Amino acid sequence: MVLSTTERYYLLECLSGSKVIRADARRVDQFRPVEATCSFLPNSNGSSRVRLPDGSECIASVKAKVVKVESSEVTDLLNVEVDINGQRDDAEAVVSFSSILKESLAQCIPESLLKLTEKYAFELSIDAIVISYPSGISSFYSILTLVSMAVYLALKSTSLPLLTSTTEDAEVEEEPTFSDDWDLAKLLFPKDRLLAPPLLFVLAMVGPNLLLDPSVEELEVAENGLFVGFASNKAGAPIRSISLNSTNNKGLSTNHILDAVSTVDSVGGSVLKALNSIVENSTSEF
Amino acid sequence: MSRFEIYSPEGLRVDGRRWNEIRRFECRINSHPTSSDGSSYVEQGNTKVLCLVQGPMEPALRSQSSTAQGSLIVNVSVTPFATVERNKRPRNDRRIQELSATLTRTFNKAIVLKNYPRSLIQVNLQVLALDGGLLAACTNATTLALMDAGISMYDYISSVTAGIFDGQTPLLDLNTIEENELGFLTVGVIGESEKLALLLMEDRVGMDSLEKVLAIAIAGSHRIRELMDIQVRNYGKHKVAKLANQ
Amino acid sequence: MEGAVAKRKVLSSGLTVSQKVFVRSRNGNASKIVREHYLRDDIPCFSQACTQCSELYQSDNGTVISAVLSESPSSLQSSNIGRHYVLLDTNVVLGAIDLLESDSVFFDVVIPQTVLNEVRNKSLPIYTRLRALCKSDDKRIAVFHNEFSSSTFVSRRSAETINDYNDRLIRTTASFYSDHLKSTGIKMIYITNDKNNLELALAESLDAMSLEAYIGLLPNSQELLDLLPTLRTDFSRSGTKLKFPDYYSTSRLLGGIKNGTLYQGIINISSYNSLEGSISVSSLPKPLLILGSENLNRSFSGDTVVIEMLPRDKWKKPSNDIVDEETLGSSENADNDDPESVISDRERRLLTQEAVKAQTSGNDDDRVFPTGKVVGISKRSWRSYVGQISARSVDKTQSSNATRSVFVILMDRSLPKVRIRTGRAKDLVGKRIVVSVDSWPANMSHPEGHYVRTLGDVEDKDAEQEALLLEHDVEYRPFSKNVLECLPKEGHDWKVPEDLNNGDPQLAKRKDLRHKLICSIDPPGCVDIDDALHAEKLPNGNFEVGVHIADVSHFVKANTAIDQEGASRGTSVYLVDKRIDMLPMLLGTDLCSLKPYVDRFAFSVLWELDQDANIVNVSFTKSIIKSREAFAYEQAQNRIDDESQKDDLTKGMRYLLALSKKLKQKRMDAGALNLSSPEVKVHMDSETSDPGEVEIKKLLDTNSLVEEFMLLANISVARKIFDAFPQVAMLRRHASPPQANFEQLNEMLRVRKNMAVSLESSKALADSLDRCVDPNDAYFNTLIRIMATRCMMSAEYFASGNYSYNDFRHYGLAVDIYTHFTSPIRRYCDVVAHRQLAAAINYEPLSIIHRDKTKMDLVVKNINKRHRNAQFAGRASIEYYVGQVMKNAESLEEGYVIKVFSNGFVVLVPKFGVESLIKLNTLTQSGAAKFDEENFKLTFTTEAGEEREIAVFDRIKVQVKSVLDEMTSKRKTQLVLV
Repeated sequence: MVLSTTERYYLLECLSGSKVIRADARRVDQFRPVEATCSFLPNSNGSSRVRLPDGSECIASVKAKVVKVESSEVTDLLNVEVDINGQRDDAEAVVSFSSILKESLAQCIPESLLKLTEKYAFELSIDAIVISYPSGISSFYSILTLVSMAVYLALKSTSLPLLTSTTEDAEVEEEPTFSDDWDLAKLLFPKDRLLAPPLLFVLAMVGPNLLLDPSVEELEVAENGLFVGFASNKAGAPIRSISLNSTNNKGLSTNHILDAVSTVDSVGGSVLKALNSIVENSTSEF
Repeated sequence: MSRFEIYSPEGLRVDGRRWNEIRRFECRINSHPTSSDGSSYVEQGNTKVLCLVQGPMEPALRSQSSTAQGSLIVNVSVTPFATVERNKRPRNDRRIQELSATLTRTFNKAIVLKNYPRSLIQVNLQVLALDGGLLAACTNATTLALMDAGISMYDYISSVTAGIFDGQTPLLDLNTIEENELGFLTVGVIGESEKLALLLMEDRVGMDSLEKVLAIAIAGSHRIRELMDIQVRNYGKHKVAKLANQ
Repeated sequence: MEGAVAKRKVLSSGLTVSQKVFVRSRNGNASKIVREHYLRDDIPCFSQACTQCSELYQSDNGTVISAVLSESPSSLQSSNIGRHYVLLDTNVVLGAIDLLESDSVFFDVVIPQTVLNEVRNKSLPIYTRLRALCKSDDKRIAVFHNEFSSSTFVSRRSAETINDYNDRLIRTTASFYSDHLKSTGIKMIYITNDKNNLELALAESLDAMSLEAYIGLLPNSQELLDLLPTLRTDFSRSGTKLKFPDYYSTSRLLGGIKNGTLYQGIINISSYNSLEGSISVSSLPKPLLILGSENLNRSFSGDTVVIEMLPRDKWKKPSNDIVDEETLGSSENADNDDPESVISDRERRLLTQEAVKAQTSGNDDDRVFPTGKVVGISKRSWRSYVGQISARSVDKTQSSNATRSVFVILMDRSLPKVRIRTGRAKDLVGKRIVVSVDSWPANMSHPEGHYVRTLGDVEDKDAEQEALLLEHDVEYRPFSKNVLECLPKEGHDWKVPEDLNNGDPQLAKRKDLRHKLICSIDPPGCVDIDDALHAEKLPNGNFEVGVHIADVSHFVKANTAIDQEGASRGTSVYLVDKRIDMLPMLLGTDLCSLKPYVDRFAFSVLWELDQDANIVNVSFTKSIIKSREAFAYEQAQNRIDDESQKDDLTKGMRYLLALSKKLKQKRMDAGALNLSSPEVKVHMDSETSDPGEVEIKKLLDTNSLVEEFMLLANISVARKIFDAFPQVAMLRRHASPPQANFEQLNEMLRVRKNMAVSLESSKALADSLDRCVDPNDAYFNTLIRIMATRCMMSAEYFASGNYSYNDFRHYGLAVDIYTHFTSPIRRYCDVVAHRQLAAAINYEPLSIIHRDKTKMDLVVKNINKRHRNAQFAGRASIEYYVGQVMKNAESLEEGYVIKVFSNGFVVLVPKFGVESLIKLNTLTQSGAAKFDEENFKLTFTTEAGEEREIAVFDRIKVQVKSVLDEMTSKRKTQLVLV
């Protein structure tokens, strides 16, 4: 999005002061309204669709497949692919989104969650497709939050078929068999456990301030950016600095980073709660 | 022998339909107002397709610019999770490219392209779930999204598949199980006419049964045109009412 | 948690759509499957008494649906039920399909779709029979699609097993019918053999009962009760020790097969030894042996089983002894199931003997055979079996009407006895009866079955013939109405149209060959004339030769009822005094048959052959011909030989004969095999139609004349259809025999005769067979040919896409490509070849059923099976009649020893084409005998105290007589050494 000098100056003024005034009247730590649904894809174990008011939209799907496991690395059981409409498969954002998501997921999903028997496990294929994004977007990193929410919801709504054959197959080979009843399928992330997939929050730095969930215009004037992970009910790794536009790049101070972590810490819980209520309230079409 | 009774002696198909019934057809127009110039979402049974149209706009490449008429680009992307077995198709997948080419050819004739010289119209289709009738659902979604974008068209192109069972009975609007068992074709019908803007016959429809398969496919397309028309008119009314309120 | 009720949505078309969601386990993976499921209100109840549904019988698009259930169904007098329909549960259909087919019970039946689907998943053959029954007008069976009807569909409950859910769907249907028919006064009786389901149904106040209870209410219950399938609960006794090892779980089996620790294959149990099975496993060069009933673990010969290899110390040699169940089973009282009798000590001893032998044969790996045990059964081969009640298992002291268990000994010796329950055991002794097998629980020494029907007395000609047809799975019932309706309306008056330009474009494509001097040459008395020939000399000195084949595909159009029937029968079956036609008589013996003096449609192959019978060119055309004469072989031979005959027809025949000799010579030079089977012909006394005498078939030059041209036609057609349809051309191949098949024969020849047959090529084999001559015994060469034939692979039909061109080869005929084209009246392969050829010459388009590879694979699989069965049935028929002939005429004949065991040897008597085992214990009291395995020699002392030596290939005198086998009640040849 091309801003005129006046627009740019005005925005900077509003956002970098001690009292931040965002163009859409949000607080610094406030999200834009998110519209989301779950479990709408018939052929997926879990699925979600998340939209932002600016027209950004991401669809995520989780499909599980039974595989024989050689190593015990959970990363071998996770296959994350991000697709951004109109971008090549080897585009920088596509590649880095996939690897960021995979790494953060690998840290939060214990292997035991996917393990079926001594020899077999579920392999998850997580596909996130960014259907649309604002036309003048200056950096794809701004939609990382959207993608991570879609993946979160898809995983939270994921159910895995119930194994009916024995789990002890180290000595005698058994082909895993499953109950044909989809109602008996077990949620990958059981409701009664704290275990949850991670979320990634993007913040834009303008002057001394940090803006959560920056809008397209805010990205233009951002002087730097970073994203912070949120898992197990607290902010933490991964934390990385990202460039949100091609022009401004001022350094992040320690304060900025600590500030970001504490913002995410305070907001994360309520975001999670809101997302979980979406999962619980969306009755599966299938 | 098939694992299913594709068409039982009592005249019912695997999913309980009769020979001449289409599946559940649901569509939405203007599903993505903020991120596109025209958009639609079509569900034909469990096949789900989303369509976004950009344009008419200035082409990024000179080669796409023609003084005589507008140019049309159709991109189809079948998501890896659309089928029961995950299947990531490369972007240059032959079948998908063929599908794009077929759609481009069809809509080149359906859009009044001479109204849009030096302009580009870009259609992006995302297939979210696939249960038979891929080309048909893409065609219907494209028709709706182009209309939403306000692009002049000569008429609706409505589309459906039809197959032949045992060389005798034509079956309308096949799902995946039926597509795997039967020879079938896809037609795209222009408006309320019996003229075809699109005909794709992959294989195995005997010439002796072609006529009855075509007849049922055209009738089915007309039914789908009606359902799309209802949706378009409802949306139109809704929009007019909204403008009047302002 | 509330069960996820599938959302339902009403569409503008009036249908309601919901989603079926389930998990599909396949190849170790588990996929979520979602399918749309439409519910409708327009499915009629099929009752003629119902007025509400009358508008729902529409006949759109050729599918005619009409109310089939009678307005006034039968009434049960003995209870307060009155007029009623019945609704059958899956277990009843599966267990009592024979009863359902009988014409004395079960009219006005409703089969819910749920039941139909369950039956289809469990047994395709029973599903096919059920569907055929639904078509029959007099049984009045209706399939009600309950899962598509909004009034009877219910969603699956959370955590409800699929079986419980299906049961509930069926009960809901029964309940719907009860309410729906209330005003008509007709009741719906739900019949189920599932105890829990019955209780649930009664609790829901449905009119439900078990099959036995229902039959008990019928007036003819006495005769019907015998026909009931056995219920496992009838037999389960507490305290019975488990006898057979349990089968492994499905996941264990699948896992094992996948990782190569278990093998799957079709088990073949020896008809000489019912305790020895073998199974070909792809990863082993030789078949794996399964020895003893515990290892065979309830498998039937022909079952697809999963096996596990036994440890090396349990590996065996193939049994050289013959073991009968009769000699092993001590306890014959079927109700007294002695748990120890399964592995008797005698069996153990036999097994131990073998084990010892295996060990003493040293380290020679070739002499030890790996063995395995059955750990699971993937697919049962169970069908109806013919047998007779073992008289010994009938307790003569008991009062006659008590229902008791008896054993039925099956005619197929490789199968175990079947236990049935009957109240008429005494009446049934001495009869050929048909039984069905129901189950074989692990705690039962024998499988459980039930009586189906009686064929007649043992040795009664008709009963034996029917038994033979049943045993070989030959469909012999008259053609159904549907099939006969496909025949031309004119019947025998059908004629080739006079006017060939009557506007029929197909007719216009036919070539008029009526001016050609065509004749047919067949066995005497032949009525279904498939082929006719002609030859004439061309001005350039070459010959025009035509082979004209009955144009069956003109009358049998693809995918019609008559075509489906033909495809399913696959071939005509020739018994000694009966022919089971593949196609109705009207076609076979009249309209298609190339009878003399009348115009007939034909499919012609026309060649130009040069002086040396090389093909100059070939063409194919549909034609109209008029045969000048129908010759018998001998007649034709006489006419050719009669020098006074100088007419053009005879000249043509002489050209044919001369050319055929050249063709034959060329084939022989290329390495075609001249193999032999002991073919005999039974002469029937024309008045009494009792078999009179047995004769070995005589071959004339004219036999081979016809044969050569048929081969040539088949080869030419094969090339043409392969060109046109490289993926689906209907062809026939004959694989070269593996070396291993000939090992034993070669060893015998080497040791006994210092001869050998070579397998390097078919040419080498043919030449080496020619060299196997004994100057003192003219028959010896034929004997070797017979034995060599048995080592060959059998030829098979295939669709061309399934093999590479090099594997098309027909080894026996020494040609690169071959098909069957010349006998479409009696072989279905030929019909397909006709259609493919017709399409190849653009006569008419080829039906999808012959263009689709998977459909062709099914056709091919079936005709291969039918072809084999027809051969076996034919042989069995000859065997039976030879037995009858010999019953009246014992004689002293020459025989040849073809196999030697440690306790007997097999002798072949060429004159009758019979072979039989002579057991050692019939020759010597002491049992003292020396078996020299290396030299195929058995030395023993006869009762007269004389020492005798019998070795393979010995020519010996035997007394031939026919005896009734006590066990199988089959008449068989008994040979006595003289």
